[in-house]
Amino acid sequence: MHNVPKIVSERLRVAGVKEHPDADVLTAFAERSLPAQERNSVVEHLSRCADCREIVSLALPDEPVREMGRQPRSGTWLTWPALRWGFVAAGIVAIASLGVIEFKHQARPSVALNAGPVEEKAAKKAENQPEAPVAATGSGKADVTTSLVAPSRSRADSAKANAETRKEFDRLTEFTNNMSAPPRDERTGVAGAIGGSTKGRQLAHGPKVLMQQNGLNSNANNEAYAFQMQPAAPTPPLPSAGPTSVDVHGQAVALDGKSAEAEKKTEVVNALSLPPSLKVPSATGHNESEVARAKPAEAVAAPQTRTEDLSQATSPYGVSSGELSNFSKSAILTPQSVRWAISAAGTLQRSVDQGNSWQDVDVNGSPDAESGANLQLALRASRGKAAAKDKADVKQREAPIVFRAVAANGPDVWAGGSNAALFHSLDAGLHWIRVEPAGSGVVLSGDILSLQFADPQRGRILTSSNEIWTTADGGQTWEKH
Amino acid sequence: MTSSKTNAAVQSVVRELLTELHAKAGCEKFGLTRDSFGVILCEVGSKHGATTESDARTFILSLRVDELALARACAAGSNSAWEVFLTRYREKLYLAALRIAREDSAARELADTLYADLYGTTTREGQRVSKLASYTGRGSLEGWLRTVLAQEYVNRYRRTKRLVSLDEESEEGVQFRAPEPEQAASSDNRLALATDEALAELPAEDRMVLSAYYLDDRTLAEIARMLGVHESTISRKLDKLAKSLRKQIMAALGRRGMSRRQAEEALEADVRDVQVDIRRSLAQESPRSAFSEKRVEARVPEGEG
Repeated sequence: MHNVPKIVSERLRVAGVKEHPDADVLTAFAERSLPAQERNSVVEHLSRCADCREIVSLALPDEPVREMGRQPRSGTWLTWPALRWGFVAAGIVAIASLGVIEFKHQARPSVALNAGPVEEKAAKKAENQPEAPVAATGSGKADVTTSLVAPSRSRADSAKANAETRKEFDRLTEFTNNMSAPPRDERTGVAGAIGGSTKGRQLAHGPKVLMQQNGLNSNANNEAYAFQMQPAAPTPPLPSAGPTSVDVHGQAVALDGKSAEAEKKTEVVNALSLPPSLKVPSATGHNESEVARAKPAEAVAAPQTRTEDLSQATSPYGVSSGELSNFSKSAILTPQSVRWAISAAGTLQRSVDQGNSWQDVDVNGSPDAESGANLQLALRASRGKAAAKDKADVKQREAPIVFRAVAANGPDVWAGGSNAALFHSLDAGLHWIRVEPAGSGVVLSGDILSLQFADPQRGRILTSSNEIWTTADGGQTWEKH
Repeated sequence: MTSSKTNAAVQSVVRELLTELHAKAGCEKFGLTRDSFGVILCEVGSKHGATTESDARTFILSLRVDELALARACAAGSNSAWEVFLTRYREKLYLAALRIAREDSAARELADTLYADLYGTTTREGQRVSKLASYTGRGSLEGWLRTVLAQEYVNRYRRTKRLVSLDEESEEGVQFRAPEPEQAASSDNRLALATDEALAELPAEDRMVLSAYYLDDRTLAEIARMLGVHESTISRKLDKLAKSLRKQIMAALGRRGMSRRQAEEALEADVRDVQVDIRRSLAQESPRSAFSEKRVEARVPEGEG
């Protein structure tokens, strides 16, 4: 298809190009902010200089956000393959969702009530989806799914839904990239399509994201609900609730196979939004440990013989069984790379889309049962912090904190600011614990000016009163210098 | 080279816009005075070389003055600026390095090296030299950091390999232009010339796409992102180019006196063409090695010939 005579390749090679454009110009070129004439001269240079082509290519951000922004949505929408799958998926989902709604009405009243929060979270997701700058057909599919699945809402839970949305966004963007890649791109594999960012990454979340995305992909593609990608071995401690299990169970029974996508989405919502102390009875009996752990839902687990697809669907989301066991929920939620920043006004900000948009993070969080539960677990995990938290809680609720420094190692984040305000999160900012470094009878005082954490264990704080505090155990004990 | 006309134009524009820009950039926060910011803007404007006031104004207004202020304040050694810089960019820098180097330790090294350059060193005269002083605000600071990282990476890690192939190439270059064994002495010149002619007629963007695809072995997706277009655009372009190039070369060969059959032979005859295509379809692990292997491949028949 794309073949030119070799002589062309030979003559294209030009030796020894000098006068490379400087970094600023190359950046402006990549960001498309060069005026036409300058752009042409840069392109001319790039046509002759392989090094500069390499540099431009390496320096591109992870996601082709610019591409999506620039292209009118019709560009990607009208890609036939994408559109085709979109229609197919939408059709299936429509049928599935009708079935769900149908069954809901027949289910026990308590189920309906409990199903409420689950679905309205999904609905929230749908609501938030249009806000995310996704031009992919995949997002359309998701919209259809979630809006149909959620008939009613009772509680708003936008923070969690937002995180899910972003997650969805990341996944779907990659999904679209995969879909539009012609055969040649497969030579470089998925990595090529998504900027090579997931493969080879040392971050814990990379491979998992990939798996999830591919799981969704294959479902959409094949219209079948047997995933090829699911790792059977790791049995994740998936979160769910008693009522939810009924809900899930109900769904599974009602829709014989057709609703896997809807189920999966709901399951995702389940997995994402509920505390880890509650488990999903996704076991079909194959995963023994799964069943064993799903004590509250054991009774219900048995009839779920038709939830193979469910367990397959949910396993990619809870891969973090071994690590971060108390925070599996948050590990799932954390997208590939969360960025942290402090705004000019001193608020803590987080971006989950490579810095394109930033959200203020409130370290006090929304006090509800779930975060409370998580905090409980967090405290159990770090006794030292527990005492400090109780004391600090009272104090810090009084004055708004002006943050001055933030340090992150993956999902392990420290943020510090005025009046010795120091917060630690193990789940990329979903939940925070106030930490008050104290050692040999002295407590950290002053404003925290800088935080350096080479890794989650070893950290160093510099305060405005010229104190230096270090920890070597992730903040459990501190030493003043 | 900045002419006095440029300087004059720039200076008047800067004078006019300084207060507004100084405030917009938040220079006060970093202790950057109006005057010093004015000097910076003049320097950036002059470097760009706009000669008329309206050009200069457009240019100055297109700059990201807030990031420029931050970068220059850091370069000047302002601690508050540096603090802000670290907070905002430290993580991004490392992530970008990781994406470029793909491997943790190389990425850390890359990022650390850049940090040292950005933080700056003090020369004997007491002057602080920081790479951030060369940021001019034309692109985003984050993008600039990525570009600088990529430059460092290419210089450092690619240079060794690249030097080899460049050397080979300059050697080879001479040999290639010499008569190719499969063809008659006279025809290859015409083929090369005809190809040059056909290529020269193409717009730069087309040549860039061709080079990126055939020389760098980039994927359609990568090329599309580099140019900011959709992947299918690149695919279509390559299709069109493949067809039209052939036609153009044939036409040019015809103009140089070859018959149609001779021209066709000249284009098809190259046995190496076949081998190259086979290599392409056998997913090579690294484009670079494919590149240098081609060189070696090419050399062998030369030696024998």
